[in-house]
Amino acid sequence: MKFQIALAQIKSFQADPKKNLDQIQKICSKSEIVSHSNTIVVFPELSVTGYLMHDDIFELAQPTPQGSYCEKLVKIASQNSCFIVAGMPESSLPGLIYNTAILVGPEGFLGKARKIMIPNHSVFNERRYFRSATQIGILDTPFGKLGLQICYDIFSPEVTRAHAFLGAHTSICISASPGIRRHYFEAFIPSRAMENTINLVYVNQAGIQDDLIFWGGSEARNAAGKQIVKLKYNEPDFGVITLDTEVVRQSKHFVPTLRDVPPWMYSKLELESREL
Amino acid sequence: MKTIPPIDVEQITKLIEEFIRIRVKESGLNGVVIGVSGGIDSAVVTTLAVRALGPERVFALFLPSGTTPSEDLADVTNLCKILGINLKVIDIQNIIHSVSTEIKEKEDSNRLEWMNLKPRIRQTIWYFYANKMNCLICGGGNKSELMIGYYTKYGDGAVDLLPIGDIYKTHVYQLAKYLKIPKKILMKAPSAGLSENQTDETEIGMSYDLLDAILFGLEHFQTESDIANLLEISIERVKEVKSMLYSSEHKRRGPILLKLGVRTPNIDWRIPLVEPSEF
Repeated sequence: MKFQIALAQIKSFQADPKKNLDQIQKICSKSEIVSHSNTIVVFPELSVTGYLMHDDIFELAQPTPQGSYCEKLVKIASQNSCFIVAGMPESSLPGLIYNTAILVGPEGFLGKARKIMIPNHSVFNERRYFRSATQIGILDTPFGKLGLQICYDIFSPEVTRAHAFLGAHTSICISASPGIRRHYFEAFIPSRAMENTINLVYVNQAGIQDDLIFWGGSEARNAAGKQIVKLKYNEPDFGVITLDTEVVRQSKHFVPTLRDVPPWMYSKLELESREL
Repeated sequence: MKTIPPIDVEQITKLIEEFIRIRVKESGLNGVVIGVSGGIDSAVVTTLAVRALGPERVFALFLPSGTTPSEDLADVTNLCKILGINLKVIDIQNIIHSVSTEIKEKEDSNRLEWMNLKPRIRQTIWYFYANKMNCLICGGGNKSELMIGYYTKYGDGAVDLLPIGDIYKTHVYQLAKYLKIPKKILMKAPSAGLSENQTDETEIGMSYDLLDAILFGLEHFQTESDIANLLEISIERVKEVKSMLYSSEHKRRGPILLKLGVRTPNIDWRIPLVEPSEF
């Protein structure tokens, strides 16, 4: 199966969902999207609210899919016959917020994934706000199974591996990564694709928010590790590609890591990591 | 002596230009005011600001005192001419005399309080013109100076933006060469010009090369002994820098206040730098 994905590398407005949803609407009405029904348009981490919203998050977080952000994204998807992956702060019980990616289509909400790895080091302050997910982000979609992960999740190879084990042919990673981390991501993106024989689509924020510069550089790799597209560094950019699940099938014969990895290792890892 | 690894000047230049452009745009103001000194830091910052905003939105102020080397005026004038920007020169020596008269204290340019008075007078004049012209103030502070507190609190440290605040002095030279800063400025011994024949490196007690190498090690979580071994220096040199680092922390923070409320300014009342629109 072949399907079209658009990498929408934007600079989100801080704590400003109105401007961000307008921006998302504008991008989804581009001719490349409208002329090709069912394109999946991927926006970065927290693209609905901006990454650095600080304590404004307590007002901005919304239940998902019940909230107005989701409603608006479904409307945009419906108007443009596309699918949208976007990031937003999701409120659950009072006081609980998740850093969430959602997938919506013309027919409505399709699913969500919450960020697992919550960074609280260097310039990151996410544990002040976010709770860690308790589930792997895997969604059944009209395109087959898709894995969703968020930014720092890619530093944990187990997340993409789980996507592959759970049957995803493509893992989508939405991100808000400042420049100092670029070389890590650029090493992890092809690695995660190749070690799991899975297509990997990475979409980052680009440009300055407060005192951070997000490095952009969004890219897609197929399951053999081949770079399909690479967007500009540090500034907003846009790219549309076609991904093929056939490459995933072929790669799994050539590099059968999922067959060869011994299950006992995971139970051992779990036991050992609990005692650290 | 080992030196710190070079930076990608082309990339860093682009990022700083974008930073200046965005901060000015989001402030809704017209441009930037920069206190130029004839030294390399303010020359680099002024050049970056002109590249970011264009010459018509960058205003240079040169505010010499009695201890300012006479060659600095010619260097500043030449730089501003090359960049095509407006330069205003105001001698602050009479203001210093007036302060001395009014507060009935004898002026002594070798004493800390008189040295610090100069950048604080300059700061007052920068803000006067920044307000008058609806501008932000760009400071010339670099990472080496900031990390050891080699600047005047609420003097040259009182600015809105520090475009090279995360750039070590060693790297400022690299940037200066890339930006084609006039050789005369590039070759000049760094000096705050607050007292006669003052130079930074004499006052700090070590070269910028060594200071930066030690700071770089500390920044990258190296231990004191690792840094000393790597740089083939005594551990006391590293301790000297650490001591400057800790004793100047009060300068890098805003005014220190006691947390009493639920959310407290400068501590944990955190909001974005820009005001969002209504949703």
